[in-house]
Amino acid sequence: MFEAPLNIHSKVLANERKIRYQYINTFTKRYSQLYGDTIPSSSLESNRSRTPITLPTPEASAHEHSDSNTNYNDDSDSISNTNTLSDDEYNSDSTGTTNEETKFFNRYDRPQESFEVWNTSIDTLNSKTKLKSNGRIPINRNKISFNRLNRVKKFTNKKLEARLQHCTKRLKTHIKAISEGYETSYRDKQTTSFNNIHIENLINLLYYNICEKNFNQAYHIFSLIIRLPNIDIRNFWNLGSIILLKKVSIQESLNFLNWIHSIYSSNQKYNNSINYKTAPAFTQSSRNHTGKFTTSFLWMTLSLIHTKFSDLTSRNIKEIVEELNYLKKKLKKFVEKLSEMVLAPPFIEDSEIWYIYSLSHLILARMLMFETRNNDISQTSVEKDITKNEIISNIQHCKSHLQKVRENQNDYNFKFQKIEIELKDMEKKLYDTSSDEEILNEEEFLDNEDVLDNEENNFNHEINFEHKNNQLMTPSYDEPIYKYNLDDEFSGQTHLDSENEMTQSHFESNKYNSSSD
Amino acid sequence: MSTYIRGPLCGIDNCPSRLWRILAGHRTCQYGHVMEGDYEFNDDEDVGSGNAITRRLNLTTNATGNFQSSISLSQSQSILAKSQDKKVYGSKGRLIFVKSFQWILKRQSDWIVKKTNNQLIDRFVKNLWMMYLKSIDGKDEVGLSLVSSISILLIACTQLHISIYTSDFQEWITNGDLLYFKANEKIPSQWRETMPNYYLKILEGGSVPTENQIQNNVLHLLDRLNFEKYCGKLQLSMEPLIFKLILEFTLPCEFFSYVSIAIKDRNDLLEYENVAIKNKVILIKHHPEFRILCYFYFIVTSMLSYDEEIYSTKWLNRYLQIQKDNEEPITMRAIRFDRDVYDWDANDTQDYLKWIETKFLPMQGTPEERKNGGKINIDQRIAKRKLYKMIPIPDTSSETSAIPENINKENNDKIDDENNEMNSDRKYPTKKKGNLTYIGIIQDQYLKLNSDFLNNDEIVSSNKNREQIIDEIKLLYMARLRNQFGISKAEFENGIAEMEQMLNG
Repeated sequence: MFEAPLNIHSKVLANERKIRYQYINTFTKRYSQLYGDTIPSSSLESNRSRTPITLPTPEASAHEHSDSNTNYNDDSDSISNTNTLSDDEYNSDSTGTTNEETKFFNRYDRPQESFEVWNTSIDTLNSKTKLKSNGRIPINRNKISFNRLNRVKKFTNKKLEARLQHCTKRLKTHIKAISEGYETSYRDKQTTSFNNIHIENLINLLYYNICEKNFNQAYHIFSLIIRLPNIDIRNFWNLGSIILLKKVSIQESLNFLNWIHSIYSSNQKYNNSINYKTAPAFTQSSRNHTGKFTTSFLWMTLSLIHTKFSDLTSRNIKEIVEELNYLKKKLKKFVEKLSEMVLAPPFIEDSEIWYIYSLSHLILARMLMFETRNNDISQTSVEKDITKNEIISNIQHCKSHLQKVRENQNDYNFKFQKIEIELKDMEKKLYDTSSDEEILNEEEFLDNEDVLDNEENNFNHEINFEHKNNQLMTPSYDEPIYKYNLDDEFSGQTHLDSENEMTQSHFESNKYNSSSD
Repeated sequence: MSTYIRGPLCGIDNCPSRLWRILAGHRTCQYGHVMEGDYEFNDDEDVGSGNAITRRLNLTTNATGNFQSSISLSQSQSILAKSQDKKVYGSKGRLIFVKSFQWILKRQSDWIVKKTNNQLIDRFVKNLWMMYLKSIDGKDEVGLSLVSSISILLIACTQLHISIYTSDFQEWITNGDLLYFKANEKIPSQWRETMPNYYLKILEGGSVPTENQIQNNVLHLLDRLNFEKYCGKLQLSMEPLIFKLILEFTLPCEFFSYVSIAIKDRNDLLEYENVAIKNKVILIKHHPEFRILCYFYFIVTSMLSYDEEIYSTKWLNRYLQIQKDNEEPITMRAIRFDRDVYDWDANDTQDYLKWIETKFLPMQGTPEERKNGGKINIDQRIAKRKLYKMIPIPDTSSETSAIPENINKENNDKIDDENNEMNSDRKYPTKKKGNLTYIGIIQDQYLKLNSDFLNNDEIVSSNKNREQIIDEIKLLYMARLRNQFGISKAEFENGIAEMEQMLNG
């Protein structure tokens, strides 16, 4: 029932992929030969710095595919200058040693960009498209006339004929079907291998027990599955993290995510000729793609610190000094880690990472702020100045990182407004209190707390929406699990409330998003 | 901005940096400390002129945090090629394969000998194996699979009139008692390294023999060994098998005579018929064990539906209920063609997981053994170890819900140890059954069947009519027999249809 996390690589599958990508490549090349200059995607490109190229999946029909994919990468080789190639030259090219799949993926900066993007939010649609106001069709794509399609298709079929001669009947039918835009299901065969039967049983039991919330059993199953050979943990790490979260502790779950982050974050450029036998690229981090486990790990760590901190704010300052210091230390470590991470790709270009970075500075500033306001008796004036400087530098960092987010922003609208308002507010208070810091009364403190509360909701909502948004870009199995219940760890009434609000805001997120920017 | 690479700790003046970049040929840390004794030459002018080609090594870090050059594709391929060099092909490879097969066969027969306490099996298996070796002497093809090993053992047992049948082997191999699946992990590593991959795959076991593989193989093997010439026709002793089936399905004892009389009436000698190697096997004609199954199925189901006085509808209903409760061991159910883990209850799952932990995992070979395949490098192994440490297999006996049952199980084990080994193996997982041995369970079931029949109050009322119940019983029989003996659906249905004709005509 559920897909087993196995690395399946058979000759049949490899052949199928080879031909499929050959078909797509041939088709694209022919199209650009004939009508190469007519594709209006270059105008799209100029609008935003990093436009996600709207493309159908490679699994979908190939003719849709050619719509907009003339956006060749700078480092893509011979493909872009094939406009003038004659058929003979073409043949010599395609029979060369280059892998068709590598060729295909060379066109994309990141492998996930080869997927079809369904733009559900209307305002992200390009204003130049005709469906400006009614927005009935959410797919952002260009058109190809039927006549042209047929011409290119005919050529491609002719090209591939020789190749298909030596294939099995099944493969021929499959290729024909997908080139017509149909789908075939070729995994209908029942598992017969003894090993795979048991792996299948275990995976089914795992999902079943998670659904039943039987986490003890699920943990047992998970611990057994990971010990089996040929199992690829990249395909079900999300289940593992949720099980650890529920069964053991949030810290253990974080450790696990940290482990997977350190193992499967590679600095290499995604190269399909090496990776094509293993799981899809999205399950792993590469030089131009941040792994979902990394972002899950960061969000989870940050939100853990934040929830603990906002727990503390409701208590008396004298009781919590130590805990606060501990949290501060933890957060500083986290910031340090982030500062290392953003020095190298892919994180250097990832707006989400920068966003997390800036948020962590924001929270750090909040913590320091909270400390100075409530702890002024024990601090000397020098210490106060140091803290103040620290706050200012954190605010500055936060601002500059937000700027980075703006630079790298692609398709997701991060919410800067609220953060910026708060930063300004903080700055104002910081300079105000320098003259009359003694006057800080209870009322103002309450005000401040109110802001914090709001911000917290906003923050949670951020996480939630982030998660939703990423679904659009990546296949669903890669989906991170952000929605966990923090009440296991901290049982505070405030959190029950905030969670209710969180879910509520989750529903309104679309509305909120469109109005905020 | 030049990008940083992670590397070893800098350590100069307690510098905490792990990030390095190249500045003017020196590896420099994040805070500007220069690494001693490390230079990189990369003359850009040369690249521009096109005369010289410089090659850059991509540096990554290994598990301990030191630099290592990541191996480029071409290099890694050459390393792989080196490890493949050990493989031996042709007649030498074949020899190793036959040797490994013999090794496996020896282990299997040893196990059977231990189980039955019958030393003769070992000698007979040896004879059969020598006959087989003679038959392939000088030929290119070997024609062996792991199923052949089961066939050899089966032939030996049948010839010696030891009451072991296909279903027993099916059970033993699926629950991992008898060496079969992943046998390639168990053979000496030297052979494993040198044997070609296609032979290794044969020794892996692959799928469970469900489509008459064992039966077909036995018949072909008999022909190949020219068994008839040396030992006469192989004859099956039917009584133990019938008795076994009767107990399996908790049937009243009169069925034993029904079935055996029917077989004797047909003058069926229950001999394995010869099939020339290339011919298609027709099980009902050639394979006596299958014939007995068909007799059994046909006679039992028709008697149950025919004699309304003795086997009343109420009785049948009760009988069906008991049969449904009395399920096969979890390992057999886990590989059924119609398996569905959502039907399992908590106990089933627990039994299954226990089995996976104790039998299935060790079957896979230890990571240390697998490293010989060259697939896992040291970094990956360290990573794996970290993961395993992070997520240990929980000790199930400490779980609160399972405590009373586990105590029972332990007691059971103690009792079983004192009992006959054979009995303990035939025992089903004792869920909800308390401290019962195999014999105890059977007694319990017969008692249930009869006492409930006498005690009218307890009969579960059901609105199914007689035919529906009979149909359900038939389905249950069919599924269970097929699963236990590894027979395909088509073959079984054919056989029964033919049997019907034969008995009627």
